[in-house]
Amino acid sequence: MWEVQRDLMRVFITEKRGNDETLVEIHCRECDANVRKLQRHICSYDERFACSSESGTVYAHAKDIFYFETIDNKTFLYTKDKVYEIQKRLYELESTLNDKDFFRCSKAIIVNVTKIEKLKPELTRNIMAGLCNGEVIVISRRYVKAFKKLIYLEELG
Amino acid sequence: MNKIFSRRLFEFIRDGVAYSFSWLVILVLIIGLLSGQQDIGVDFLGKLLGFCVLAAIEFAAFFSDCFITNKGFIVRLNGFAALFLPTEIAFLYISGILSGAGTVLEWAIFVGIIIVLYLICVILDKTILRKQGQEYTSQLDKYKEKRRDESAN
Repeated sequence: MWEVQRDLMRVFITEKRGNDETLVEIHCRECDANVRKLQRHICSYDERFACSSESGTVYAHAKDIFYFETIDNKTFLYTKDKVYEIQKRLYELESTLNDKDFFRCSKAIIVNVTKIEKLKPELTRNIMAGLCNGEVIVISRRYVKAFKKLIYLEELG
Repeated sequence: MNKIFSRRLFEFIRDGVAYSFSWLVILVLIIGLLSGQQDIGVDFLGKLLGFCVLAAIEFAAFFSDCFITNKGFIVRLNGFAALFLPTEIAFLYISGILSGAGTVLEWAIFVGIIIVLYLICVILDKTILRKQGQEYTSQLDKYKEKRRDESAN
């Protein structure tokens, strides 16, 4: 069904000298799952998150984010060497983030898979994930199967 | 302590008690059959259950991810062993398996069993799991490369 719709999808680009920003508007018969997927895809192209910091609001680009973590009902965003608080909850982030790059690895953490450098399974069936900045996070045993599926490890057996 | 956290901890302890108590009772039955002892005292079973509950709580403290999150297996194992060994020794005395100061041979057997089990865990962690980790990392690198290609296109 999606293939047919995609074939029928038309894309227009309109240039206007006076525009300050790029605007993408989706016109559809019904806002179904595929349209929302398309919306997420467009949003993820230049996805930035507004974060609170001592100097005011700053924007973190998705590609610079290492992981999101919830502590005491507050959500924090971790970059290579900085931590910011953001107003979104983990489940909200989970539905908007690109699910090929961001993975819910435990009850409290969503990790950027592209920032994982090393994996080590444990006897407890958790997987320890070493990130590029030297931090280590846990892929909880409850999420290990989904993680293996994501990186096609299940196909290897 | 929130509801989800309490539930996870409870489930972990419940499963730990069920697993350890079942296996220990089977072990006691086998030893009883081999040594010609036909019955198990209710008192002994009660003490065994108490020991399993304590051991499961100690195990949950280090391995459930409820209290310790970003630590590796060896750190967890060391912490658990430090807490579990005094509990185990206390159980051996309370249940009457050991009495008095014990002989050197008895203590040597006890310490030997602990060291062997500890070494098995460490060897598993350092060999099989390390190799598995290398495979996982290699597969992750392939996935990341694929994602980079997709993003570039």
